[in-house]
Amino acid sequence: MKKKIFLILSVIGPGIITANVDNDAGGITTYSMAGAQFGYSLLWTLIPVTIALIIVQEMAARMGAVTGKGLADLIRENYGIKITFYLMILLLLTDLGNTIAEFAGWAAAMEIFGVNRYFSVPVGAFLIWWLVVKGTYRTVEKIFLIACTIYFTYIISGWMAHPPWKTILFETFVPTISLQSDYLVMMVGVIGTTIAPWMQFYLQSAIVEKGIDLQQYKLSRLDVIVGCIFTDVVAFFIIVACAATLYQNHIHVEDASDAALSLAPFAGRFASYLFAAGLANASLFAASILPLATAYYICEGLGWEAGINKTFKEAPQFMWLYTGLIVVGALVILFPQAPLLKIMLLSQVANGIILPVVLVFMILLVNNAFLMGEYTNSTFLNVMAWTTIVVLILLTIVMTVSLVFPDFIKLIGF
Amino acid sequence: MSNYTVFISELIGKPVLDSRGEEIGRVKDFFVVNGSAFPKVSAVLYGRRKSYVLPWEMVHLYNRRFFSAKISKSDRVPAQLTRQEILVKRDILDKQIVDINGAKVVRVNDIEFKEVEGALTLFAADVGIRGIIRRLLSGKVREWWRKKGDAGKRQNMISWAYVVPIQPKLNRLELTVPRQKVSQLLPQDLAEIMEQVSVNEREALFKSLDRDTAARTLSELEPGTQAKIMEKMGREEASDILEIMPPDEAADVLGDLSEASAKEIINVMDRADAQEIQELLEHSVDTAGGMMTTEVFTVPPDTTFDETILKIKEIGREVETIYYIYVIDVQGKLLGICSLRDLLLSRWDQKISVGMMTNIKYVSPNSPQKEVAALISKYNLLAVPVLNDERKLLGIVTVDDVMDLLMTYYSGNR
Repeated sequence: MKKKIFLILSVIGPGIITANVDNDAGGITTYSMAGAQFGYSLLWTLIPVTIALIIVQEMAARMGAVTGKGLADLIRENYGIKITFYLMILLLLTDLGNTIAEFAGWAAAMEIFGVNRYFSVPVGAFLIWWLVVKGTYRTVEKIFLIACTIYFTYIISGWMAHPPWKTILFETFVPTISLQSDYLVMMVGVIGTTIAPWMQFYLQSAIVEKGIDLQQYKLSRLDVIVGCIFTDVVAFFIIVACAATLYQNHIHVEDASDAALSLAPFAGRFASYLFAAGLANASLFAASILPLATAYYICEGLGWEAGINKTFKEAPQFMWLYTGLIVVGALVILFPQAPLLKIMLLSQVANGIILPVVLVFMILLVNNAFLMGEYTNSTFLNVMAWTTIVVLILLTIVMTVSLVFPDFIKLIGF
Repeated sequence: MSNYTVFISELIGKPVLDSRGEEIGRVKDFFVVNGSAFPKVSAVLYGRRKSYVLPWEMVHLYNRRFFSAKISKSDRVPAQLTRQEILVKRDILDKQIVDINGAKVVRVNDIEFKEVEGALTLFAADVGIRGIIRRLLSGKVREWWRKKGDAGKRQNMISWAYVVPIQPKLNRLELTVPRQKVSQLLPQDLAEIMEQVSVNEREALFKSLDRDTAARTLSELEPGTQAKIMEKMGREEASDILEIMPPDEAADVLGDLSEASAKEIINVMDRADAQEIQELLEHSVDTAGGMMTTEVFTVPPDTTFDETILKIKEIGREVETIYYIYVIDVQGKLLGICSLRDLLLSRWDQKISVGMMTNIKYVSPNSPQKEVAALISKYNLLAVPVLNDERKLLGIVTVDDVMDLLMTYYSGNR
């Protein structure tokens, strides 16, 4: 029995961590606004989103376990340096943008607790930098896993909002289809925020660094599935919390910290603090994982040494990339003149360009029998995966184009 | 044309002209076979959509701008590719290799060919940033870069004599006699390289080692990795390697395997070795009994010093340490210990029982490892004997075993 628990612990981590970071500052903002603007009517999207997330994540995990190589490794080895290089540049851009967003989330959440951003941002940045540079993979993973448990705060604050459970049950399993353009934009946002390119890279690299192989793969798949479900349960409660309070009372919110503050009059000060604590945790957590993931795959793709266990001397590019992203991400937040919105827009557009490319590479690689042997996708899985990918690609195109031309969705006739 | 060097990035995509000067395709890849010192290009793969093979003898002329063939368009030989042939671009470029001189794993960014006696050979692997730049550039800019930026710079170029490809297939074909090259590496370096490459590559690399190197490398690997390699090997092969290892380390490896696999391996082992290992396996790993080695240098009390020296010359290689000589009676009880220094400084005809130290510091098989470490550190020992209740010598724990323990303790469970 003791051995069995050890076995589970030795495999668990990558899946749960990757999925949870998905609920980062941007994710929480999207879910809060979805709940505040459309009540419970978007809850049903979480079910297909969870399935899509599991399908994509499972493929990445499987590739890691079978080949023992990261996704960037595989793309480089099978598609050459040119495409890898440009992919990496775009990934660097979107991840920088996202890292900035995470620090913004962290700063805003800490301000709810009365902590000035000129204090909270440098301290937070230093903490996560120190953790990875000085830590080993195991200690880092343990701390990340603890951070995952803090997401429970959202479940509690959702509960404290006293939502009408019957309505919620109905809305979750019976889709509401509305062709209103605001509703569609929000729906695309909810789906788009869930599956990001960096996640696939991070998950696969973490599986490899953890040394998970085929024998342990069944457990690892469980790790992935549980992680994806937990993540969307958290998303569910964020929507519920905001729907039960803000939507009911027609309160308009701009972002996640705004939502946390607005919760207080309806669900109590405690619920509001819990919501803010969740946001602070999620933001800082993601502000560490995102630069980490970026450093991993850029080094893999370009052939530099990488790994949390390495030192600055052994893996200089890896450590400098990680350091640089955190420093730049934190600095942008501290300079009020920085063109925050433009950076975010650019990073979202880059994200929109890469996601389809990465997903297509993934499905081609996972079906490459020379790499995967007997572990290629089954026909059923391929049908599911292609459907997921085509839908995601279409949604990403719509979202990206509407970011650049805000009236796009109205133009195409809805 | 002798000593003409050219990069593969400069040749791929260049037109292939037939004997009348008409273009019959573009260069796609190069076939290589084992040469005397360096692998030789045996044919060119070219074409547009369809691929054709041009044997090297049929190449009339080549340079950075074009290839001219001695054949006409109608004589083109269609290529039938299996995964068995070795293609430079497909199988080596962008893949990882071991750099024997630097003792590390690196990625091939570009490959330099050199003309030697009319044949084009694989001459060096470019693993630096220059290789990446060269491949990203094209046309005039690349030409400019070649003349201005690149000329004569040889940093990060690894001569093929020091390159070991790690792709399983390349190893099998002994493209570069990896066995000889790899054995130039220290087992410690080899172990570190193995921790860096993917599972399949590690397996292939390990299989290419001779048994002695394999055994010494296995000792240096992380416990988890050791078990993974052993599980994948044939039982006979595994037992052969374990027999070469010191029994305490062999027992450690077996202890990490599943019970079934360990049993299977022990069953095919040499009987004496198997028994020793089985005894060690019965002790818990964190006690003196689990840490000790049973390969101890022992002599009866009436041995003279010069006889002892002769015996050391005879079997000294098989035991863990010769710095202590253990004097035992016929029942195997430990009477005293004589250090190598005492031995060398004593009169040659004297009996060892006269010169030995009888105030023995020892541990019992159940002593916890902390206690063993404390004793070794307190009395500055190189090894401590493990005695049972009847003072019978079971084995010794050497300082290097304890050192590993201390290192793990201080580096925080790495």
